[in-house]
Amino acid sequence: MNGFEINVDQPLWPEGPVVINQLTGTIVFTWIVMAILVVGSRLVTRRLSVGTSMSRGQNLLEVLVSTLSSQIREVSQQEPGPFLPFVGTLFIFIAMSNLLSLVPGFPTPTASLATTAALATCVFVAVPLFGIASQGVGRYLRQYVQPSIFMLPFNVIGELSRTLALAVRLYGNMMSGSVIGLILLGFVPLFVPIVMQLFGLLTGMIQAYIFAVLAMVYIASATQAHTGSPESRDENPESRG
Amino acid sequence: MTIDWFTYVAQIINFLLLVWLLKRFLYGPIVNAMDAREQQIATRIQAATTAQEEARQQSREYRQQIDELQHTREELLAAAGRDVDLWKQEHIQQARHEVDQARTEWLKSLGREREAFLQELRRRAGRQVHTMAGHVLTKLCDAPLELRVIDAFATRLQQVEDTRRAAIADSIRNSHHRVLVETAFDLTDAGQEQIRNLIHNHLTDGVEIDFRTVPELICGIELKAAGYKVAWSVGESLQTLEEDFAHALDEAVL
Repeated sequence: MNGFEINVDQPLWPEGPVVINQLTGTIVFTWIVMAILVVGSRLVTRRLSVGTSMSRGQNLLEVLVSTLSSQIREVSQQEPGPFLPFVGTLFIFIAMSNLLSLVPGFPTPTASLATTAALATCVFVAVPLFGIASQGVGRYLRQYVQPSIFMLPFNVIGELSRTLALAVRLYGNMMSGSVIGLILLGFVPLFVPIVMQLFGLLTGMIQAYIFAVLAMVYIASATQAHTGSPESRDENPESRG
Repeated sequence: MTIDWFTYVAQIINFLLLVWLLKRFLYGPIVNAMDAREQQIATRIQAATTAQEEARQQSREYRQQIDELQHTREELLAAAGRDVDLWKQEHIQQARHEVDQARTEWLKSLGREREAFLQELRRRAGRQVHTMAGHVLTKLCDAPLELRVIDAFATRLQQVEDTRRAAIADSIRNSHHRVLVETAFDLTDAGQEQIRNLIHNHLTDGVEIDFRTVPELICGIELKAAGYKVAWSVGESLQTLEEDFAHALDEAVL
């Protein structure tokens, strides 16, 4: 993008040694995002204050964590403790990746289908793990044959399709933002790309929120006992994407 | 839209690694710090609530003490008021008693002075009347006052009822025939003889008569014999004068 486009799914060093020659831009820029997040967190949390006065970084992180906790509590109607690291990391990683897309020459990892598919796969795996941890294996698996055994294939297909939808939705939104920006840059090189960048920033934040909230909805539906049909537990959340 | 499976697996590992790192360096410390702060705030709120409750309790105790002090003060004031009233009544009574005593003493003293004055008045008035009557009788009737007094005594003795006169005579005879005649002036021998004749004629014979001069009689003669008395004096007339003076004095005093 912005005249300096990197194909994030192509190896950066094809001629390199084993493994290195397979590192794509997605992986490398994901590491950068991870480094920023981890190092930034470590710098802030190295000296935490439990008093009423605190540093700006601690204040920012406390606001972020408390907001994530309240959102998880609202969505799941449960204590956010067990879900906070997973769901919070989903939001923070996606949001930070999308935010860094504003930096010229920084291809966001979330514009790669491999990344979004990996995140969706993590959600796909995390849902039954949290569900089994909360309700037990039998009770969790019983949800797939509710209200009758004939609904089993539909429930399985639903699980797969929503995972696919998670991956494609995020990938499509982020990739389309980059593509639209490139196209507009060709027609209107001044001002309009800036507006589109701001619009892309808003879209990126919304997509991070939607991805995290949907993941939380799936996990919450798996961790709570249901009396209705499996379709009703999701309240058709994909329609928001 | 193809997926590089190496990247796909690497991204899963990256994400799980990121979850672990952020849990260690972000969520854990931040949540712990927020929990510690909440605990600290809760402790402070609890301490403030306890302090507030203690303050309320102390406020109630102080208010109760103030009420008790106020009540005690009112009781003390009431007791002091009663004591003052009692002290006042006692001193008023004492003062009234002292005033009554002083008034009584004063009235007694006044009565004594009054009596003394009246006695002195009676004595002087009698002497003056005696002197003046003597002069008048000497000038107008060419007769001394003593003779006229003896005549008046003779008239009084003649006016005594017969039964009383007989009783006096019996009494004289039973008392060794002695009588006492007191006069306000010194009797002459003729006067003594005249009185002796009067007694012998009107009472009984053979009586021993003792004469004695008593100026207090005020121009009069008294015959005393065994519990009986026959007398005449200007003192009876002066009695009215004395009573008028006493009445005038009482009016002046009151």
